[in-house]
Amino acid sequence: MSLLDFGTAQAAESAQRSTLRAFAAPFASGAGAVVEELDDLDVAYAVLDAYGHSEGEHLGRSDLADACLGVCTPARFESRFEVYVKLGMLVQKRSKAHQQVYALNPTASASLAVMDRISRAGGVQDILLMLDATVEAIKAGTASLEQVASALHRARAQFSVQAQHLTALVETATFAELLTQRRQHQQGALVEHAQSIVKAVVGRFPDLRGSAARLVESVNRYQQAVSLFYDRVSEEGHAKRDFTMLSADQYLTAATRAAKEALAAPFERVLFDRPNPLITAETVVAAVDRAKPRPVRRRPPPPVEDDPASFVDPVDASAQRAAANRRTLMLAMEQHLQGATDVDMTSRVRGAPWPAAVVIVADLLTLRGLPYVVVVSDALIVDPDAAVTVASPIALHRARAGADPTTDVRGLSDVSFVEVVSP
Amino acid sequence: VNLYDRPGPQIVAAVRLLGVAPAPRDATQLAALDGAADAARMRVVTLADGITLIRDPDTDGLWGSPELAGARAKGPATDKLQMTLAACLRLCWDDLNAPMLPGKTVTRAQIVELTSRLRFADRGGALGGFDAHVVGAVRTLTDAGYLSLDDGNVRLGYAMSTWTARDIATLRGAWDRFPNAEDVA
Repeated sequence: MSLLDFGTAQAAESAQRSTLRAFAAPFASGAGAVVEELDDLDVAYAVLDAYGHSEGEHLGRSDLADACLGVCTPARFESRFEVYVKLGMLVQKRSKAHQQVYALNPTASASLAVMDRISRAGGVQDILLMLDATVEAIKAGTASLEQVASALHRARAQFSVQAQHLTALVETATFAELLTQRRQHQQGALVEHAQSIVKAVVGRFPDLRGSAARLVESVNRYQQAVSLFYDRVSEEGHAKRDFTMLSADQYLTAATRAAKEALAAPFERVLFDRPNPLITAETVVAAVDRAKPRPVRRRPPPPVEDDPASFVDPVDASAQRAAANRRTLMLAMEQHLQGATDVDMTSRVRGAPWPAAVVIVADLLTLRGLPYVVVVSDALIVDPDAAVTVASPIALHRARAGADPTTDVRGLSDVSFVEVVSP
Repeated sequence: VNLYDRPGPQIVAAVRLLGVAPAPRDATQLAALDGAADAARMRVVTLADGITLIRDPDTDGLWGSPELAGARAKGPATDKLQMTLAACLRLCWDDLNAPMLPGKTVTRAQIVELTSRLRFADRGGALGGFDAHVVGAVRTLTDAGYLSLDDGNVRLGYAMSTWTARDIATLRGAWDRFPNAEDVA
């Protein structure tokens, strides 16, 4: 809370206290008859709330004490309770001998409502209410000339008092005090309202024309006092740059309704600094690199499935490759055999240059599922001078008719027959 | 009226408003300028034709406290501003062998053309309304002093002359990647 807010809050509390005192003065027996602490008012509101929640039931003393727990001490409640009972705000109802219950006098709750309204809206609204009631009575034909004359007289006097009060405030009150009074003098179109009342009065009682005209005069004086009041509020608020001088609603209205020139006026003597975007050589280069169009990724064209001629089944292709390999291998074996059933491959292996000898032996040892048998001896022929320095005798036989070349003795399928025999 | 006889905040305000202010003529004026700049946490940069005051992102002490820095959360300027400035730089400084300043004068239309086509190069052309964004970016950059706008003609502004030799070297290094009129033609 700022110092100014604190000042405003203090002024508001003090204003409420003086409103309360002035309100009670006409029917107080002594100067001490009005509560000194505003917290005491909260006890009365708490009692009212308790009856609001009781749904028509009468409440006992302990119920009320419970309801007031949050706002005052038990001792304070006892003292306030005695006052309420004594003055008839709480009326004792006899239900049972051992249990005393109390009802709330409706006048007391009305008095709280009136107090509320006066401290919020000042007395002006009540004057208007009284005058409106008079106009209603005139229209209904129930008001006598004396009653209307008396009402006009009283209203005129009250407007004069309000005008005097405001003039004195403008001259002497602090800014914080002015702000607390601000809400109490926001009656719009007051003069028009008074004129309509006067019209109704004069229409029924032409003799009261003079009295009605004096009422309009006093309303005008009050209105002038209100203008002076707002002039001072705006002047001081402007000097202090205090934005609380207007209510939030008034700022909203100004924002939506006021002319552009009026809204611009407060900034006539304000200089705005140049824009200060954060741009450095690094940020410019980073932005350039970000903004470069990304390289386009090229995907391989999807296979054209509509054309049956271009479609190749991968399984078929694999089988064709296997058949071609098999055929190549068989042609090589037949070339070794030259139409015979057996051939000794040892000399060919030993006579071949080195890589070719390996190819021959590899072919012989991988005769998968082909009708040939390869017999490798475990003898060892060593020839240090030859291209193939170490070799074992190896023979190729055509498989005998009836023998199943794909059956493998070790349970592995698709393996060529390789027999190892002793020399 | 001598600028440097004024109170410090007024000196700062006047220099910011002018962009480039006449340089102090003697030691007294220099002291007044330095005092004003220090109080405003700004940096004095001496240019060929006067002095200017800039906010230094690294030593912007006014906003330096962690709480305020978090509240302000000032990041780099938008890509729109950066790209527009990059296009202006490439157009106005088209010869790397020459110094960056004063540079050439180009038309605003050239900048709009280059920037808008570059930004949306991967979307097949400029989008409606984007030209207006570039024009707005040119105006903001002009207000900030990066560009100088004169009757539709644009050249590099005084704020560019506050960039250091290191900044210029950074630009030279990235020169080939900058938007180029021939690339987008």
